Amino acid sequence: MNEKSILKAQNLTKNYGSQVGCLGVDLEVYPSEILGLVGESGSGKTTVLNLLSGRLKPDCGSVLYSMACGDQIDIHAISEAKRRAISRSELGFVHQNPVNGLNLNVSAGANIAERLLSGGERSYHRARAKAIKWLEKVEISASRLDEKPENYSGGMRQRLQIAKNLVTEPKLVFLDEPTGGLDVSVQARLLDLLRRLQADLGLSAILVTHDLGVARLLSQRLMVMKDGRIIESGLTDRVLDDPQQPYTQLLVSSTLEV
Amino acid sequence: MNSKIIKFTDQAPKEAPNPLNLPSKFRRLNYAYLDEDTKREIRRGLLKAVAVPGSQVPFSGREMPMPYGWGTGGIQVTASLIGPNDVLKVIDQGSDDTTNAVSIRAFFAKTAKVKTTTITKEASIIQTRHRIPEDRLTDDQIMVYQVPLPEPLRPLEPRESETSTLHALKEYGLMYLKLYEDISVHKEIAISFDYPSLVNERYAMSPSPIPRFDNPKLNMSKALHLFGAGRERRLYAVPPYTKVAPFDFEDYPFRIQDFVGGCALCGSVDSYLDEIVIDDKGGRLMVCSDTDHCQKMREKSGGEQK
Repeated sequence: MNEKSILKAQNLTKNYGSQVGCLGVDLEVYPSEILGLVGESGSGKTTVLNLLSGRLKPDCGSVLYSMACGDQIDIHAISEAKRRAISRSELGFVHQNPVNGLNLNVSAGANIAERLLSGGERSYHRARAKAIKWLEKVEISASRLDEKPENYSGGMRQRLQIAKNLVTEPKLVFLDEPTGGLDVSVQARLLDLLRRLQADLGLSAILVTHDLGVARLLSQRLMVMKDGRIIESGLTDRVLDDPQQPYTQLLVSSTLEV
Repeated sequence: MNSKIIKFTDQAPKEAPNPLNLPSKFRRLNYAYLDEDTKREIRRGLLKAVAVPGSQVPFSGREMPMPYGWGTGGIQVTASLIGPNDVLKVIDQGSDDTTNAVSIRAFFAKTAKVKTTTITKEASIIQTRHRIPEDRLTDDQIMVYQVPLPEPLRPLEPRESETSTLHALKEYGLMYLKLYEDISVHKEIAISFDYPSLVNERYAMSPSPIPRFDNPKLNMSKALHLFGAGRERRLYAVPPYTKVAPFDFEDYPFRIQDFVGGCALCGSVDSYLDEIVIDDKGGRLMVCSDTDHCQKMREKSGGEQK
């Protein structure tokens, strides 16, 4: 890969008191690829995701992000104001539970418009038109624009959360178990949607999941975490079909066959 | 007659009541009720508030001889500013003769020995709740507002740590979110009072519960506007000649309330009107909320008729 990476993390380390969050994590994400991060609960996946997205400060290490304008910045070295501005324009974060990523007290339209308004949009009609466009892109009827997301089903809420994140056309999206807690048919539709949007928009993403099926379907490269370290990485198909590490072998062989 | 009824006069009493027979040095209230250290602290807070227009400055709000919600913040600001040469006007909902307005005037007449007035032009300090007088204010006047909720972002964000961060970073997207939601639901911006505004192109401010009719009066006003929130313990200010711009959308611009017809008493067509129920058959009158302005207009037109 001689292409320039969009996100580069070096030696990321985070401890919670005497507990290890993650240890010496190095990774790179290239334009238009989805990088999967798998491992059991407590292996440090979410810690890494929070460190990469700037939501958590590392004890040591750096996260370099190439902005749309071409400049490279360290997410943890820039000012709070700049970090927040980048987080709501060039980055996206899809939570496992949509309640954490949505504002349930305002309508679906307002949820989508929020990033635009924070970014300086001062026309009601333009913001609303974009909200309608994105609601339709995630297969929600425009007639439900002014409804509050409390009335939405779990799958719809997750799709709304995706629309909310993508409305500013971010370059990089962090996906934290985006299909967790949804039933399989809804999962399948959501995965289709994510694949289509990724292909259409040329998105890069970091996908945290414990579902190897989801990882195989979405990600091109895969990293396996255990006890805060990355123990194996490679092309998704290689890692899943020919796991090298004993733990990865265990993980792959533990998957239930239908 | 019952001699226990305390009579309020414009004259300060020679001596405060002394039921415990305290020695004279403990007996007397300080000038304008508050002790000098407290006044000094409030003045310092006000200086900071004027220096950073629209930004909220914490102060250590004292217990006042009245409940929160009756203007404890405004009274403390007035007490820290007032001197014997001041002329005080107090209005409540635009009116000079409501209980609260009368009591606060009497309070300062008694404790600060100041002259009081109901005429806007004569006043050097105007303490107010809910209105800005219709008459243009001048550069030697100070408006003091009684503020219940100083934080304009509070209804949208409950955490103080988060709202202070949003102010520090000038992130007011939430404000527009509220306006967006209003237009989606009500087809217009449905904030009729306490309309949030951006002061000096920097800080979002709650102008206290004045009707949005009065917001334009704050913009580039000649007078100094001081805001005191007693329960929330915050001070803020709009210095003279400061830009105060209401939040709005370019395709849904801010506009003031408009009234059909003028005041039923004075005929004024450019003042804020209150609806008064006059009988039990549904009879109503629309009259000026600013009683001083109404009086003046009536005298003027009466004079012309004669």
